[in-house]
Amino acid sequence: MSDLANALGAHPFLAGLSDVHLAEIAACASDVRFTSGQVVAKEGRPADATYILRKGRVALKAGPHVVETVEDDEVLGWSWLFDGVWHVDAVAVGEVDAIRLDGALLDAAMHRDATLGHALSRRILLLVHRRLERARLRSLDVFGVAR
Amino acid sequence: MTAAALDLWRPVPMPVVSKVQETADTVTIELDARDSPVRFAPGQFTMLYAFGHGEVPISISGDPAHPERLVHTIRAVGRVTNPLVAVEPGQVLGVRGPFGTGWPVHDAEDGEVVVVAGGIGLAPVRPVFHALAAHRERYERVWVLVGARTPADLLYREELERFAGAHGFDLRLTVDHADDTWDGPVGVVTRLLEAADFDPSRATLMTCGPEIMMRFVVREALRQGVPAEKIWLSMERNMKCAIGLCGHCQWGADFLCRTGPVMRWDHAMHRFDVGGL
Repeated sequence: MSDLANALGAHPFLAGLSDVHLAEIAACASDVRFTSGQVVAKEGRPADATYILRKGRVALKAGPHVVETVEDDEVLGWSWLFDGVWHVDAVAVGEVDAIRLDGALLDAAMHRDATLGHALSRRILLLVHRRLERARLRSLDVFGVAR
Repeated sequence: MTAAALDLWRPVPMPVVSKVQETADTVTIELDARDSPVRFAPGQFTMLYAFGHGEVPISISGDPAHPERLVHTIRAVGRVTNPLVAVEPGQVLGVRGPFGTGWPVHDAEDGEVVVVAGGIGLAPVRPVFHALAAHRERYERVWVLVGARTPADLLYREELERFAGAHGFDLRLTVDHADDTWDGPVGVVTRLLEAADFDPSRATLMTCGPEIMMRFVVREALRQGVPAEKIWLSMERNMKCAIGLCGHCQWGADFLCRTGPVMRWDHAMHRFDVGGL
């Protein structure tokens, strides 16, 4: 396998995928690096990629407010699979090493290989599910003043 | 009634010797307990009496190796805690206790320890940090995962960082809402648990915070494979007598002042979904 495929297979998001699937994903992948303050994504702009974070922190922002951060070993961006636009700004906090998966290439690969499509869709749904769980907990504002 | 039993009802006067403003509504006070040392297990609480106002249960948040210095961190949330937070060095508070159950610091030896705390819930686990640090060689990795509403609400931040540096704790902090002073993680505390690289089969998890937070923490811990009997939480109810007589703190079949506040998840789990308990 290529170095990129190996790196993808070592990431929690893709761990356990077959070598064939990892090679298909690696064909859509490239290494990227962001410097502190660099804009990774802009709200309202076309969402054309998923970023597999290897090292670093990205702040998801709604206007001036940090909604959440995405950290080492996490994943940023799946809107290319749905409505195709970013819904938040994403800004690097410090140096960020990531692997960029091209959304259009990956979409095509998922259509060509239904088993890859199924495996990736499940993993993306799991990300959405976990994000939803966290949003529920956060909406409760559990540390609010108990008066 | 025996003299020993009488003592359980009688507050011991102790002078306040220091007070630290931790956050806008939370202080840590130290009482001089040299005349009546309070030997406690991490996780136990005392009944603190603000004379003229009343008595409330407050977890001990100091070092169990120093029973002569009784430390509590108190958040101003009501009729008794407001005057407690307002005390100044030289004033006297009444103390009964210690009461209740403690964290399983001995049972956790030879394995990893994962502490997940949120908000004022950090105070009841603070003695655990002291206990682990005193015998650091008995434990494998120690994870300290802490959440707060905002950076300004984070308790003991400098002390936690000192502990982490001196004793090799894996400290992770997160806030629900960031401000300009914060460039760390933003998100709920359960996310720190998702990201922590511990061996669930060798871990003892202790969690303290709002009940709903602990519910999410336990769910995540179970998902990661921590056995139910290795998950411990601290429950909070309206303790009054603190010796299992009055029933104010009843939670199902338990009086939490006696069989709590610290209890194992497999003991508590069936009541978590019962409304009104």
